[in-house]
Amino acid sequence: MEIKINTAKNENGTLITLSGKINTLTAQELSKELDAVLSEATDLTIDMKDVDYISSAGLRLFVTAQKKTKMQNGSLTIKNMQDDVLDVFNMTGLTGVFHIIKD
Amino acid sequence: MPFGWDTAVEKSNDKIISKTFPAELSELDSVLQFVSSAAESGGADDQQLDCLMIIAEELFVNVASYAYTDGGSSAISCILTDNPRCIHLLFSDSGVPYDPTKRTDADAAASVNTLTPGGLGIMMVRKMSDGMEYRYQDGMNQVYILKGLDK
Repeated sequence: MEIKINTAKNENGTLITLSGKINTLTAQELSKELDAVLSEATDLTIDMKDVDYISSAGLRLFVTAQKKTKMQNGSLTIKNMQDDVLDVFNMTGLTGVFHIIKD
Repeated sequence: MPFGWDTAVEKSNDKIISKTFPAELSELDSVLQFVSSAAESGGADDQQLDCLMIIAEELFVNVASYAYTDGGSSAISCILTDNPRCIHLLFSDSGVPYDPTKRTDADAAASVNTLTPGGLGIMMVRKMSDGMEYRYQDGMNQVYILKGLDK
């Protein structure tokens, strides 16, 4: 399984565009990128349009990122989740925790 | 009540496929490939396949992360049955006794400031499967998973 991570800064903060699968192994790479981004940015958007799989390792990353942005008085937005991935968030009760949008 | 795996074995006509993996995170892709292949041969659709991948990942990663202090192995066995069409999975390891069915679900309704991620994985296994049982027998943890494959 692989994940591709593209990070760009814009006027609204930082946008991370992901593509691939977020599992225990690929989450390690994503964790490093989130740590690096959140050491500088406070407002973060993650585009999940091309992510078709997420396990609890991925959910844990988002929970941690959400805590960090809150502590920095920033925001985390997750956008364009595929239905199957959104189902995982729903199933675990996490949809109410995150700011989730569609473009 | 009989253990679900034993009942599936009785119905299986010995058509059991099994594979043993080193209990190491680096084996995860091989584990997922094995389960994916078995599920596809049973006619699982994409959504069922994703559920089975998540179930296999969560259970295997638990074993690879916590079952052993000096390394060990994790065996996965699979049976496909008809009427109704189901896949039966048995995850076995000889690590420290651990019953995931006793794990309390994470309190995801809590505020993000107090939310802890522990238990998320087992909650996902419970919700994505149609049955989950545990027993400790002959020094082995055995976790049985039932997933229906009818549409």
